[in-house]
Amino acid sequence: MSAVFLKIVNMSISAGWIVLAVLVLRFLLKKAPKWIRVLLWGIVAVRLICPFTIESVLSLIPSAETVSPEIMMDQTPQIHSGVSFINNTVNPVIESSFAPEGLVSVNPLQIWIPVFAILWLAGIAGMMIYTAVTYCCLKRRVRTAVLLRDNIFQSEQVVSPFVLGLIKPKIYLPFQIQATDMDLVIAHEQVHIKRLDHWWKPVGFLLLTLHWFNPLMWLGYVLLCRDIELACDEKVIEHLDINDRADYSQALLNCSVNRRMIAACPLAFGENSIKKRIKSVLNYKKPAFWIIVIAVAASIVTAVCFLTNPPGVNEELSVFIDMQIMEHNQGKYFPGQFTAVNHKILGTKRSKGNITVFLLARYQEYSFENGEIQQAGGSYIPTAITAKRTGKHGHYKLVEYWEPRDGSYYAEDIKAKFPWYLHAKALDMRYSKEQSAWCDNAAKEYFSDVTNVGGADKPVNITVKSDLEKLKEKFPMYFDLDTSNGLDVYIWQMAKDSYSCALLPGKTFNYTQDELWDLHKNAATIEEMRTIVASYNLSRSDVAVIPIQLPISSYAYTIDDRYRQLLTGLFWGDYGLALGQYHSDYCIDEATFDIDGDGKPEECTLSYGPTSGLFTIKLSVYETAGTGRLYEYFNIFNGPAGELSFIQTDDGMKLRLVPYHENIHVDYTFSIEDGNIVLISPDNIYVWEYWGEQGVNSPFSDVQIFKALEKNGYTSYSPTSYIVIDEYGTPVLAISHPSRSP
Amino acid sequence: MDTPKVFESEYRFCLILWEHEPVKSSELVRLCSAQLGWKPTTTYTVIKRLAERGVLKNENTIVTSLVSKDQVQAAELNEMVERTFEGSLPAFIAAFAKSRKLEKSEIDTLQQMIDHYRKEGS
Repeated sequence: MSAVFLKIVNMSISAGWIVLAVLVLRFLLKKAPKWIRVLLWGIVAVRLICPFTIESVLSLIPSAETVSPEIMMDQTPQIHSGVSFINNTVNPVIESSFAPEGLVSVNPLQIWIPVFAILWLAGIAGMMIYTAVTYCCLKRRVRTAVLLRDNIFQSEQVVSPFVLGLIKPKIYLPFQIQATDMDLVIAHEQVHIKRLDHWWKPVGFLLLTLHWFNPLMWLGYVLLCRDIELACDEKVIEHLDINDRADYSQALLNCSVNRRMIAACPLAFGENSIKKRIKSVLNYKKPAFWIIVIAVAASIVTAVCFLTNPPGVNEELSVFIDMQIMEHNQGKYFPGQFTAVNHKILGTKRSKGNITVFLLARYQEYSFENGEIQQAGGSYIPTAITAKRTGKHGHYKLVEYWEPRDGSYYAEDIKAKFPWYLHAKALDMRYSKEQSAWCDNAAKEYFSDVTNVGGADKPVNITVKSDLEKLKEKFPMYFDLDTSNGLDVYIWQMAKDSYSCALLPGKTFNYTQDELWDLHKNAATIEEMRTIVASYNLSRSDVAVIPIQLPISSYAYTIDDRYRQLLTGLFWGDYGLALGQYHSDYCIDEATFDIDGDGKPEECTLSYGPTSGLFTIKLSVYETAGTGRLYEYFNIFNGPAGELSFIQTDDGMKLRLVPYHENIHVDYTFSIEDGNIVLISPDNIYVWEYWGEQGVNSPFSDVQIFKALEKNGYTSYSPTSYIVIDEYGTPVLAISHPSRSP
Repeated sequence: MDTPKVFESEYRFCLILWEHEPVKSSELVRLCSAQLGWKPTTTYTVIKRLAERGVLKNENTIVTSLVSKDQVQAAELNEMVERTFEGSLPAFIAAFAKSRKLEKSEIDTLQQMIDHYRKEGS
């Protein structure tokens, strides 16, 4: 029902544009016969009645779908009225009133739109009841009307003449009416009947009840009634001489003086701006033929321009887009036997003869073996394709095939390229499920056709295995784990560029040596483990990355804070880290100096913050090894992006920031307040922004982790590594600063 | 005794009654249908109304009048019915439809326009 309501709203808005156009035309075609005006209103009516229409470039409707039928599902609901001014005025209001808060809560429009739909129905019901009541009342009043002749009646209840009845229309006149007036009045009402005005008015009113919420429709209806009267007058006096026309005007005047009764349904002679009608009659001149021609032509043009919709993306362009996606991706992956391409258009933009289509492109290759369809290489990327129509019928030429860059540039690039109202849809890959399903189905269909699979292996049971399903088969022990304490990812290095991972429920420290060593039996690659962990939908702070050294590996490496940071970054695929680069990259900088002015130097480490997306940096400060204390200070900063380093100046050690792509640098001074490190910019503004909990007792601080480890039996620790000692005092495990929330 | 008031349409009914009375109500129905275009229910309702008002009496389906033609003519109801119509269009629609009565000055102006027009033509 909400869908119907939204469709009506869109039709109403489209019709609203026509009403405005008709108002302009009425003014321009003043000299034309009045029936042209009624014809124009007919065009409005067609638009209101007919939900279907054809697309044409001649369309002057700004937008056929101002309110998207999916607006209730949108994270950032907005209208596309086709007029930037209106969009820019209305959408911010909608956003502030109706946008859902956070990614979890329900779009308020999901509640409001059904409410509006119900109100709309109530309005319709109200108007229909009103119409029925007034009609019945009027009928009742005139039932004692006396027959004059044919279908003409007179009643003392009638003040101003009118027509009543749909099938067998009757003309009602007052008793007190002069003979001369009577003939003219009857002529007028008979013209109404002949032209079926006693149907058009109710039809117009019916349309009005459906669109009662649109003020332009009320205006249209009122003007329609007026124009019907004027057209009727014109028809009556067309062939009358001057005297008769004067008589007619007199009749209008006479009837108007006494009347007060207005009714919803019937057509009332003498209603509707008497002055205007009298003037119209007196000033009537038979319009020249060419004026009629122009007026009719203008009406046809109006009909074409406003009964058609602006073009969306046509069939040819759609096919062209599929081709481009196919060509662009071919050869990137190990070839499969079948390729499926699916795109979902989010929006379009036209400029200088080019059309840019913003879409989500799904490319997927499949292979078929042993009766099973496997997914091979594929991608799902927000894409912008710009094309130009060539002279040849329906052909396009590619102007640009745009994709966002990887890693931290991904979101930035999309926001720069895509229109703002499409950002949300592009970034959250809105249609990934349905697009993937479409591709899978296409593959199923293809491989079901025996001729495509060479006839040898007749497909018995065709299932499409996603990566996750394959992983489930390979590593069943890593699924359905208890995540009440998060998850622990253990990573060890087998060779310089070879990493292996194992997965255990969070904080399970009570494993034996054998159990630890057994981890290597189910070694997964980092990519595999990342996919497995991602399927749990935990937040990052619930997943701990723990580097360990397994005896089975002969590759020697030191497990320290730096190494742990590196592996964490590597696991999450953050910050564009490439294999082999990290030892010098992940830990941004470190320096030993007296940061808090207590006379003793501290080891200060600058590294990436616990989240990605935001550019956060972590500053950890701990006393030098040997004192047994861990951290003195720990703080997270959300600052501008750029290159950071410690720098020794005449004024002491400072933190230097060189913003990306700029030639300037900003030096921050360190200060300690309330047990927290504070950065002060040169103009004395604190840079430290509160993010989560700061300070050494922060959930993100390693201090908490070690407290927890202690509780669980770890007996000694040092600032750089946490060593488990067995009953013989032999170190058996080195865990370096795992990070997690308590 | 005050002569009961009779509306114009009821007057036409009475004309038929006076011409044919005493008359069976069913016969009245037939006559009213032919001459006035009334539905049977309308005729019966009017008979009942006029009976209540003392204009006629209906005994055992025979209808006879209680007042004469002269009496009614004297008390003819001339006034136009000005009752506000239940459920007339809301005020703002009325405003749109320019339903307000014309001012006297406007009436005069328009009358002048019409007269002037007539002169021009002849």
